[in-house]
Amino acid sequence: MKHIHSGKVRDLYELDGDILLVASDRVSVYDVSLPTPVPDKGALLTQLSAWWFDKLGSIVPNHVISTEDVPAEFARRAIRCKPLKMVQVECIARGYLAGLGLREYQRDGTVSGVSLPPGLVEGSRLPEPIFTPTTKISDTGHDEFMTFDEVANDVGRETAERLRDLTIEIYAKGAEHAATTGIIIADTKLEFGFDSDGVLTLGDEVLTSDSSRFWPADDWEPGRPQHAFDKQFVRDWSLTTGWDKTPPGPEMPENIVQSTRERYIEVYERITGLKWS
Amino acid sequence: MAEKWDHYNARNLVDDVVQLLEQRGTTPDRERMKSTKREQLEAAQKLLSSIGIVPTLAPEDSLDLDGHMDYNRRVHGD
Repeated sequence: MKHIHSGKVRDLYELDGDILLVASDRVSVYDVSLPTPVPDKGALLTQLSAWWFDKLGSIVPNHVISTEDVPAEFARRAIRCKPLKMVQVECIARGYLAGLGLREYQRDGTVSGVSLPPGLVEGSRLPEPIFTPTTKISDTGHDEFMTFDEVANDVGRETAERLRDLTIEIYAKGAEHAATTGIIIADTKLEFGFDSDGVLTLGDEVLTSDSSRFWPADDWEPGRPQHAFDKQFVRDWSLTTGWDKTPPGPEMPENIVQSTRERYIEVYERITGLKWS
Repeated sequence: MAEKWDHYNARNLVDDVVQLLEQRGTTPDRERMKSTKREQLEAAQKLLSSIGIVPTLAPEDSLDLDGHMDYNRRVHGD
């Protein structure tokens, strides 16, 4: 096994020509990785992602080879994957108005060039999910929204259409299921690549609360910022510490760690219908 | 008629072009390269797209292993 790269939350290894994507228990808020891990977070997100990959398998091929055939030290928190040639477009689907999309809407009435009806407010549900891709690398050095035509210029119209349609379909299916469990998936980011046969394939992780925005449905109230389903304890607590949101982050107290872990478990159990043990 | 867009690792393009030029008798002076790696990557992506090839990257160069911080910062407003 060869170590390839480590990020603040996940690690990448090469194993007999396959890729091993390993999730840690580290948590980041406000762009900073906190020093206190949340036990089982990596396993919970990995298993949730694996569950989604399986559920979405009829829509699009994915990069998963196995969640079982991984080194024992990474059991439950690693996915053995096919190495993909990754497309340089972040494929984001939104079903609700929030974040930078809200700012663009308030300024221009659009998000990523998609016109939206007037009268929407923060947290509003959109009439239908929209595709709001971003560049990974831009002239300014920052990720930026792209229009659909810009994506087509970068990858060809046929691939762009496939990326758009798959992103919307995966989001819609995921959001529809999550809604039945009391969880709103406001938006999500998907990553695609080509496999060795040139087939467009879903990669990375899918519909987890790191790569998506989850809101509790019973707390949803358009017109104000919404609460994150899992990290809200951490965010709220961190604001009480006087921390200036720059590294290093503060150590989390045990009750916040446990509350956050319970929320990750709740998300997993609600969405999958399985008991975490 | 279906489009025919092949794909190519954008990170390899500059090195491959340099190698090709050297094979053809031109010797680029890497010491005098003025562009950064990022600028080279951006240029490689633009060139590939402009000639109908999808620019791609290896997973380690592409995936956000920092907890999708860019996405969170941009979309969640964190």
